[in-house]
Amino acid sequence: MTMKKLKAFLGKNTVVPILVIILLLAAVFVPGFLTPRNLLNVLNQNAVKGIMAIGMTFVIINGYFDMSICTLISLTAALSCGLQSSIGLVPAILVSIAVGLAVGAINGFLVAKAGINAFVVTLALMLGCRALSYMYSGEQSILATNDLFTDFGMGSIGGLSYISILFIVMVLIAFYVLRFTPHGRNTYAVGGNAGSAFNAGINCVKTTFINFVICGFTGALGGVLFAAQSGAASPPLGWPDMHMLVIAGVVLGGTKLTGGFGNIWYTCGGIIILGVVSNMMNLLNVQTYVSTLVTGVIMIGVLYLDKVLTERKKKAALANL
Amino acid sequence: MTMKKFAAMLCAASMTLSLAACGGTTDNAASDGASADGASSGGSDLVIGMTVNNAGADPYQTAYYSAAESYAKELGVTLKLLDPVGDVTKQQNQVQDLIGMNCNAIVLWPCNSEAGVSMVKQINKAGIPVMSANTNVDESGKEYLECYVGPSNVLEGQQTAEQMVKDIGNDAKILYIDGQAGYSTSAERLEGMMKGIEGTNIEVLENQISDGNREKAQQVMENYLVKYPAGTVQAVYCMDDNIAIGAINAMEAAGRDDILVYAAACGDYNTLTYIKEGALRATAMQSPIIDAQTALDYAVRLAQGEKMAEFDNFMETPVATADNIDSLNIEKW
Repeated sequence: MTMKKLKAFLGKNTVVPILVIILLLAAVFVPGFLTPRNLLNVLNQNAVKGIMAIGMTFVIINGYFDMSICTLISLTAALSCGLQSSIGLVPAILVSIAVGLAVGAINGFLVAKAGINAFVVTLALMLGCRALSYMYSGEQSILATNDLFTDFGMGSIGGLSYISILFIVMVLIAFYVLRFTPHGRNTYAVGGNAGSAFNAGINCVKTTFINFVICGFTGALGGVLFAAQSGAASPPLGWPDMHMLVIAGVVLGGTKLTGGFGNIWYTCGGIIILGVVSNMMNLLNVQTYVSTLVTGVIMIGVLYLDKVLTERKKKAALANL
Repeated sequence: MTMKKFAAMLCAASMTLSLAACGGTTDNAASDGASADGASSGGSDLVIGMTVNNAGADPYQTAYYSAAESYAKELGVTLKLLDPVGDVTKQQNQVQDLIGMNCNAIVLWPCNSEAGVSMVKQINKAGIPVMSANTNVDESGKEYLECYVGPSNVLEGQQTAEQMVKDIGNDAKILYIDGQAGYSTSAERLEGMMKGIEGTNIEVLENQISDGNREKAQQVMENYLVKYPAGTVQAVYCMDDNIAIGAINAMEAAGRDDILVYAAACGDYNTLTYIKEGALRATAMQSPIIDAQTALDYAVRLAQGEKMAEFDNFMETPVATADNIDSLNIEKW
């Protein structure tokens, strides 16, 4: 009975066996991987990406995706660094977050209310944010002048960075929102079948709008945290593939691009898989492009496996009818 | 049904396994090779960590990358050479990984001078000696660095300018074609040129930017040629060889040969043909092979616990002209 339960659990959460396999492989083949210090290092390295993936998870469960965070992070990083000397640290961060919320709101309005394709809308904002970022920074890197800011970005308690702690807290909040609040349930409903959700009386426009705003928020926060981490904002930050890595993390975890299925733990798993692969490759001193290739191959493998399992379940369900 | 699932699982597992195994073998081979070499050259077990800017982006960096790899084998040290493909966030992660790998010294070629500050700070905090190579980190990060090893842009600019003064004399008029606005290398080479012509009556008539782009440089030169008829200007001084080739193309197209072309520095092996022909009169040769080897030499010394007396350690960048190019024995890259 328990075996059956375990099987069902693994079949549903494909990210778990994949993660276990990869961790085992890493532990066996990569010297120096399985040390507490390196494992914490992997978490710390990927915390910012993880935070951005939280917002992306909301949007993807909602059935859309957001590419604008790719350059939004560069814009908010530049703003948070550039403004802190003139208006103070907290206002600078608040302005950056507000910009993220605004970008999310524009995305949400155009996708949900105006009904324009999410690909086009978020692509347009991605380009727009890039231009704004370059215009604001004058194509120059901006140094963070406030020590508190960089201390937060680089600080840690017992090997766990402040940013990782923030990530964990945000994951818990996201879990609560998705699981226990009406908004979370609405998100699954709209992503699963917008028509039936509408017929059931759910405000689809509002739900989608809020999710894009959440994604804008986490994206903006990601940019600020990247700036805090590196003590500077460089114009090409995030360009050209940050959004792809974040989406890859979410999808690798098992959240479906078609919407309506997934959860925040999947996303954590996916981001950790990406992080472990890149860490493994660095420890093995393998060329960066090989690491990218491996990531791609694993993604195809995982998604293929997922597809096979789902097909099987569908057929089993039909057979039971 | 279960067969299919099993097959899929097996397929995915073998895929990842084979990839990881392939990564593993290359690593073993590399470390075996290093230790074998190490045994022959006195048994050093030093580990040098290095993250370069963007290998593969341009010929210079690609050559730098492979030169560092082969020179490490020659020296018998284990080199952990990582490539952040120009991405600051990746480089940040790689720095953390390098710290975790217990390197004896770390070499950083920062993707971004400003973001490099927090990286060298982290490495310094971890108690590992760190140096910047080829491109320095921002001034505020200097306190965490042991030293800088790489070309001196000012010196390159000055050396080439001095050669130019020899050619055109003290009373001449020249034009300048700059690289990218706000790019520190451009500013430093210009500073070097001004130093080189200090004390002469040479007048810089005009300075325009080319965005470091050959086509744009050609346009700038075409405009110059229209504006300054034969005999009014003796030389044009360019920020780098790429720009100089643009200028040479413009002169060839206009059928002019009254203006001598100089480039502050040259990082592309193909430019040598222009120097041999005399189309490019003089340039400071900045070889990526020398650059990488000098950097590794210093890294090994740091790893052995040595403290550097000087902060700035410049690689050799001899001025090449048609007359001396063959005697310089420049290795191909």
